[in-house]
This record gives sequence, C-alpha cells and structure tokens, in this order.
Amino acid sequence: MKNSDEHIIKISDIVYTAAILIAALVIFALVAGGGKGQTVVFKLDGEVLAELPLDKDATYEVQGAYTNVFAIEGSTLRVTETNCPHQECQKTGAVSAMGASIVCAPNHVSATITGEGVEIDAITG
Amino acid sequence: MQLPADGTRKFVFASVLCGIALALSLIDSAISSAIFPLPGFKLGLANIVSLFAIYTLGFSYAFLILVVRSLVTALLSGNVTMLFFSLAAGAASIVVMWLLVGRLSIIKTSVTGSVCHNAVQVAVAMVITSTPQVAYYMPILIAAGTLSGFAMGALCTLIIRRLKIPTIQHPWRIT
Repeated sequence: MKNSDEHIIKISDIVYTAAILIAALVIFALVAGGGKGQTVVFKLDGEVLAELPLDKDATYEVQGAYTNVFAIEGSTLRVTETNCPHQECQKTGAVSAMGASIVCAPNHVSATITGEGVEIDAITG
Repeated sequence: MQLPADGTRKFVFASVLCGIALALSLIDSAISSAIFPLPGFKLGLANIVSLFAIYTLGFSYAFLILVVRSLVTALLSGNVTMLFFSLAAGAASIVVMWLLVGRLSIIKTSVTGSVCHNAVQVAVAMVITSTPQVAYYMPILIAAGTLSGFAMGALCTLIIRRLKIPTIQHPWRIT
C-alpha cells in the first residue's frame, strides 16, 4: 500500500464503491420509487394530528414551539410560512412522491406522503 | 517528514489536525445545509482527518480529535443538535474504520466509514425527530456520502504517500 508504483485509485476500489452505490439506489427504488402518494399524514411529537388527501387543495397549520403552515396544491405538499430558526422545511420546496416528507426539526413536526401498501403505525390522538 | 515520537509532539500534531478538522467541519455544515433538507446532516468531509489520524496517530487520538471538533463545531455554528449527530456518527465511523484499517485499502476504508457515518446520522435523525419516515431519504444520502468518502479516501492516500508519513503499526497488520 505504501508502494508508490501502485495507482492511488485501484480498480477494486471503484468496484467496491460502485457496489455500495448500486445497493443504495436499488433500495431506494424498491422502497420509495413506486407511484404517487395519496394522503398526507401530519405528526407533532410523533403523534398523528391529521390526515389530508393529496388531491384536494388545502392549507394546514401546525402549532408547536413554532408555527408551520403547510399547503397542498396541485397534488404537491410544501411549507408556505414558518417562523422556525433555519427555515429548512420551507427550503425543501414541494414534494409529491410517496414516502417523501417535510420535516421541521425544531418544531418536532413532520408531514409525510403515504399511500396504498405503506403501513401507518399511527396513534390518533 | 518524521512522525513525532514523544508525547508532546504527538499532542501538538493532533491539535493541528483538530484545527483542520474544525475548518472542514464548518465548511461541511455550510455546504450541507444548502443541499439537504435535514438539519444537522453533514456530508462527512471532516472524516478525512479522522482517517488520517487513525493511520498516523492511533485510535485514542482520533477519538479525541473527533470529540473536540464536534464540540467546537456545535458551539461555533450555534446548532447544538448537531452535537449528537456529529458525535454518534463520527464515533461509529471511527470504530468501523479502525477495524478495517489493516485489511482494506484506504479508499475502501474511507467509503465504508462514510456509509456508516451517514447511516448513523439518519438513525439519530429518526430518533430525535420521532419520524421513521426520515429513513426514506437514507439511500440518496448514503449515495452522496459514499461519493464524498471516495474522494476523501483518494485524497488521504495521496497525502500519506506523497508526504511519506509513516503509519503506525496496527496490532493485526502484517506489513
């Protein structure tokens, strides 16, 4: 390994990295690649607040330590207004794929798109 | 370059590495907050310093550098939640890399350590925000981290060879 006649990047390294990348992408395709979502599940501190259908335009406001205003429009979900410190949730933009979620970590809030075939272990509060 | 033999010089060398790790960690959090929606999730650029410390200084110094850079990064960037992410992910990454260090090449060690780092970050995110749905992001995040791990491993190999820094004798290494 300390021999300077060897290449720095060997073929076995590329094969190893490619194998890990392919495994990661295969798992992604299996889990979250299929189909459009149907309902949005809003959770605060792990408890389900509401479930709204994705195909009807609506707005939903969540009040925790901070305020998040979610908007469902044109079958996509996004955060329109928020006063949390870094505004990461708003920067996420619009999501529409099944399994995608928008998370506001300081507020302990998450909005996830679920559909058929995905189990929701939720406790309605 | 001769690796310092006595304790004080090793300590100073470790401090310099810690400073470099700190700078990389801050750049890392600046880049990662622009790309990823999860706060506290980092690309793992500072793992190159952990890898380098494992090869030249040993496990205890590498761990010390990790703890100090996590603390100072979290304090400097004002985001204390990042502390848990950095510590847990960095510690897991260092343990995995230490176990692999005599057996695989530097790049493979770096890639494996990076995968472990990102997986632990996602796991910690799942626990802290109580949303298992964060796991849906895991494959893409792991893919991004793998690429950065590959680049860091290549860079580390280049550095160790060009500077001819002697690596320490690990207990199970044959050479």
